[in-house]
Amino acid sequence: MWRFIGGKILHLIPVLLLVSLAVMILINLIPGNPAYAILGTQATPSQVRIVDAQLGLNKPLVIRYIDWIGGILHGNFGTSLFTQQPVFQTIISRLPVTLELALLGEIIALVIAIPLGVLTAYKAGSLIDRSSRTVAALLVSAPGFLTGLLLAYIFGVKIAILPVTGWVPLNQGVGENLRYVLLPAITLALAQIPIFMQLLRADMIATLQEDFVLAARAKGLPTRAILLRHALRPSMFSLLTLSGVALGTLLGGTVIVESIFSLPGIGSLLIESIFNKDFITVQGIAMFIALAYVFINIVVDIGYGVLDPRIRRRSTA
Amino acid sequence: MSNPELVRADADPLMGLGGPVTGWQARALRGSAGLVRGRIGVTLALGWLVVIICLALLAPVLPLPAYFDFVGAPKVALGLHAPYLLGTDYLGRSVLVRLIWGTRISLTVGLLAVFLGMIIGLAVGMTAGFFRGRVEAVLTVFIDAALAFPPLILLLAITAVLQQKLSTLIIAFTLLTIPSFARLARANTLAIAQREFVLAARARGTGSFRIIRREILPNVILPTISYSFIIVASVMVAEGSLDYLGLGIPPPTPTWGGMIASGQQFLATNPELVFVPAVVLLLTVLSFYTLGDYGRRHLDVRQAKL
Repeated sequence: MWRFIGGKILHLIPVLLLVSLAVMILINLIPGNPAYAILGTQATPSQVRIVDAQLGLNKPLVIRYIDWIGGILHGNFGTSLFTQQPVFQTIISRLPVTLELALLGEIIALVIAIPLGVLTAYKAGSLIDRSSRTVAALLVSAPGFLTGLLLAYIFGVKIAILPVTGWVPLNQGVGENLRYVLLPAITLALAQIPIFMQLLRADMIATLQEDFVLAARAKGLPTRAILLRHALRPSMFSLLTLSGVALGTLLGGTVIVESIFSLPGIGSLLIESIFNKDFITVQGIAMFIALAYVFINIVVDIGYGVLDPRIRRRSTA
Repeated sequence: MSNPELVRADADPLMGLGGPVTGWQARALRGSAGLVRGRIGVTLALGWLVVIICLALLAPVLPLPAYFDFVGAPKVALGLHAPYLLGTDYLGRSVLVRLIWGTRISLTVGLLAVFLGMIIGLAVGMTAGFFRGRVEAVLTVFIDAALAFPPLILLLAITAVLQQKLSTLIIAFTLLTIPSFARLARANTLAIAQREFVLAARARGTGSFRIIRREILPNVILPTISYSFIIVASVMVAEGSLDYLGLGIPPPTPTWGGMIASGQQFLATNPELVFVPAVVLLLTVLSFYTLGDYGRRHLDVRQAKL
């Protein structure tokens, strides 16, 4: 067990080094002197020197990299060129919005996808099964901003029951907050539901052919009990893995949705920083999201290994 | 029960962008009935793509106004009497003409970036899958690092530091697609390299390079090409998203995503300004996806009965 976890974490080190190096040299990709890109062509040499020092461009790359990694290990992602605030604190202040959005989107997706997956697996080939899968095939091809704008149009303009833009933090009233988070969360969920549903359906169909399901049926257990108590649990492994991975993806994937509904999350912070040419913040967000993404993935991996010993053996072999 | 490693290995490289799903997800969707999946779907998809590709190629010579010309009052809805059928945008420019010119951007980025990514990815993946050992270990670390990074963030970071122009987008998307092609090519190469005809070639004393070229490549390339159609669909969605965010090709050049973004402020009064380009994007993405999925069902070595 520990060997399995250790192996996973060891494998992480070169990956993280490469990722951080890629993020670090981002600024070096700017054509010409980045200071001019930030200040404009009218900048005086002394202004350029100040920005160079802020970006650390007056030091060699290796020193800069070590300094930067050292800073990140201490939770210091640098200081914004635009607001002069510490980047880490800005990210943390925006995190609740993105986190709430991602979690709620995920919960909605699971709440809808699990019953649908069970139902379509049990009634495989029926009208419900075929029609829900046709809708799913269409939904997975729809770009996020299309479903988002469609929802905004239907519920924000046509029926006008939910606000289309803006945000009320959770601590200023749960009800108000829910009104603002609902449409964006449903947009995120709509992209996940077909994927979750199909995965659960496929695994569930396989489980329903197992001998223990036949045994349960022979004992005369009601269908509901067989489906929910006996068949659902062993069919959920892949779904749980995937929903974990999807949560990691969502942390970086709410950019579009935050932009459509103008929510003050990490995604819109990233977009703002790009438009402000605030490269330190862009770097910080990129690194923060990459770290979170890698971390969630490793937790999912380990969690899966803990739940299912076969995976452990396969990976260490 | 699906193996999570396989689940992960096949997951959509551009996930988080809301594009079509690939890999195991596509396999999970495989059986679904309906219009989009059969022969009819493939024919419709091909037809749509032929039409938009022709329009995109012919855009400079078609007897239409320029995409920046004002052809009528602003925000005329689509209809038979509207200028050029699809009406005008918020400045009075022809929506149809702008859509046609936007097609050029979407198709150029989608097709060129995926083509380049496929070539490089094939080379990397086949090398890793054929030689195994240390070569594979090193390449796998690079592939894993590239895939450990949320794609949209990588994309935004690249566009943040480089100038917003066509070549930047093509480079960014090429970089983004290489790892997924490499992973697919590696997986397929691993499977092929154990087959008898490869063993026979080795026994004859054929060189590694020749085996890769004569025995492996012909077997790996077909599933890769059908996969590439699905990736084109993902790239087009991602490119549309970038344009939507204002980080793709800057105005006045028309792009589908840009048209959707500029139409958004008139969503309450003129929803067609958003939904006409959105539907065009959706149809195009669906078409590429349908063709890729069709190809996969017939060509994927993991699916075909060997």
